[in-house]
This record gives sequence, structure tokens and C-alpha cells, in this order.
Amino acid sequence: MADPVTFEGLEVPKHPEKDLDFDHADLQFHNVDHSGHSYEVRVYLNNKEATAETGRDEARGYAGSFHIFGHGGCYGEEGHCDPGRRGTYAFDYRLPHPLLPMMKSIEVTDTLKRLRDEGAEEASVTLVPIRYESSAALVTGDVHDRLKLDSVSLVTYETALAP
Amino acid sequence: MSAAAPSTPPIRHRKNVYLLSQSQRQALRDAFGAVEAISDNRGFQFFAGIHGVPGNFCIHHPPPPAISLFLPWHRAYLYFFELALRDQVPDATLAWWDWSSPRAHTNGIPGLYSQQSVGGNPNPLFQSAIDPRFGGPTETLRDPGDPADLPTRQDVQSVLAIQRFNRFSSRLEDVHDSVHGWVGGTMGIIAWAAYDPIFWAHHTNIDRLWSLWQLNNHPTFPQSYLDRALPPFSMTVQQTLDVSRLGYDYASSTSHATAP
Repeated sequence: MADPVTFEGLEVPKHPEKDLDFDHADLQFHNVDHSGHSYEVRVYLNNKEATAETGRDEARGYAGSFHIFGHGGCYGEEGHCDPGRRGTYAFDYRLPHPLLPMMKSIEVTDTLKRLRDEGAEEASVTLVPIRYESSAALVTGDVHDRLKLDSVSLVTYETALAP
Repeated sequence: MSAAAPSTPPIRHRKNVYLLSQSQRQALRDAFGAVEAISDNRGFQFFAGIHGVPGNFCIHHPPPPAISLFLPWHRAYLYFFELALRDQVPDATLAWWDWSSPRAHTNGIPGLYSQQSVGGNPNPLFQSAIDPRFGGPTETLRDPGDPADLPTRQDVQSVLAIQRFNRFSSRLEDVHDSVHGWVGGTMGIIAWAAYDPIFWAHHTNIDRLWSLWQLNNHPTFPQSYLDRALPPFSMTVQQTLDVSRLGYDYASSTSHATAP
């Protein structure tokens, strides 16, 4: 089972005036690998001890889940599953390589407001991957079992004026 | 098989799996059974292989800032597969599985797809073979989770409320991802998912949700996006945007009577 991964140092925005408050907040997960197994990824804020056994409730910092629909390894010859092996050309109308890493996001508006109201200035994000075991059991060959991504962003919005 | 009768309505309706009539259920089983028995490019193995192994054409989460092709590509995929079904059984249409419905949250996989046999014969909607030459599993299998863990109506409503196309598409795709994982087994792996007959009911529901969203949202896309081809299908993004121009719509149920 892949290990949890924690990102630290996300700034919790302070909005001293209620009329400047954000009304929408997203956590964005950048360059998520999806070449291997499939996972539910549970997202916890300010709970670096979270594991697969941790409850999914507000008191434990659970903010939601995103999901990785994995390719299940490489069923091709050498280089088939490496986006870097494809050249870059002008007038290239091919679709993107299927294994380019992806971006995922979840909405965390209520969770972030609760942290802010509790006085938190920073947030950590702990990602707990839960592998879909019956699918993993069908994967043959050498497939890594690790949650791989580059970074996490916390983005807040004021959308109330939008039509 | 003969061609469609002249009285067939010009727009076909993809219906709720739970509300199919007996004859509609039989038409769906017959159509899947027929294409599963064909080994050439009209058959089930050919179409299932477009998505994962060996074709690897499916489009999933794109790297930003690209506009997602997930929904248009899978709409084209369903369209061409449905034509292949209708070539065998003219009255057959794809059907949608609403995994957010109370019935799904009680029973999980619909009986139409979970019964191993019907009338003493193997149910073609329960399982399919996978070409052993690909080096993976040689038949589909499932290991569904707790029905209560399927996406809820509230999950779906919150996605449909999103107005920006890329955000809507991304969130809908994540809900879609969760159902693949929930069904488990071959459905949980991109390489093999489309070999499971339930894949088509799941994706028909995803396409239905996109069509519902389109009723209230009319994004403006760059021409370069509209002109994108959706290989291996002879269709562009622009051609997928209006389901009526593809000859279908979504209904809960239908019944049809011809003149005496």
C-alpha cells in the first residue's frame, strides 16, 4: 500500500472584513502520475498523522477525496509509456500522450473557513492513497505503488459577483 | 438482421437501465451478445480495445491549460459503438446506469448486468472475454464496493452546478473515476475497463450528465478546440456538442406503438 504524502506551508488566507471573504476554495494537485494503480486519495488538512484507518470526518481534518483511474502499468514495448520519448514538433496534431501527468482538484471551502475561524495561519495537506485492491491484483509486471505528484496549491475565489 | 422499420422514430432514446421494458432488455442483451461473437472490427473486442489495450486512444485528465477532451472523446466512442450494436439489433440503444440513484445505493450493480445467466444462457452483460494475446486478464471481473459509497445525488448536483466547462469536466471525470474504482476488478484499470459491459452503461450516464449540463450552459470554445479530431473516430469536437445531431437523446423510459 502506498504511503501517505504530506505537503506543508500552505497559507490560510485572512480576511478581516467579512465582505472581503472568499466564497470558494480549491486545493489543486499538480502533475499527478496515473501510470500505475488506481486509488482513492483522501485529503486531510492539518492532520499529518492521517492514515488509511483515519476517519473521514471534519474533526480529523478530512476535506474530501479525489480519485486516480490508473493505467495499470505499461502494455507496450520499451518507451511506449514514456511521454518524454515522443518528439515535439510544429504542426503536431496528435492528441496529448495519454500518460502525461494530470491535475486534480477538490473544493475545500467549508474546511478552509473552519481552519481560518479556528485561528490557523498555515495548513498542511496529507494525502492518504487507498488502493483499489481487486484492480491492483490484476496488474502484472513491475508497477510502482507510490502516490506521485509535484505540488499542491490552495486557491480561493470571490465569485459572489459573478452572474 | 433487417434494417430498422420505417416507423422507428428518427431520434433514438437512451434509457434508464432500471426502467427498460422486457423487450428493450432483451434487445440490449442480444446486441451485446452479437458483437461479443464478432472478432473483426465490428465486434466488441475491437471497440473495447480502442479505449485501453491495445489501442490506447482514450482521453482522460489532460495537463493544464488544455481544454479537456474527455467528454467529447467518450461521446464519440459511445456513438460509434452504439452504431455497431444497432448493426446487429436495430432496436438496441445504449442505456444509462444512474449510480447516484437510491436503487443503486441499495443494490449496487443493476441486475441486468449482475445476473450471470438469463434463461439458462450466459448473460452477455455480465462478463466478456479479453484477448489473451494482450498479456493481461483473459476475462472481466468485478469486486464492487459498498453501494453506500457510490457517488450521491448531492455529489452529482454539485458538479452540475459548476459553470465553467473545464472545471465541470474535471469534477465530473473525478466522479467517473470513483465509480471505476468502486466497481473494481478490470473496471478499475484503464487498460481493461472497456471490456466490462457495465463500462458502457456507466459512460452513457456520464454522457447523459454532460447533456443535462449543456441544457443550461453554453460555453464558447476556441475554433482550434472545436476543430480537434477525436481519433480513431471520424468526428471532431464540434460534431459531438449537439446530441440531437448525433441522432439520440436521453429519456427515463419509452414505449412505442405502431398503427394497426
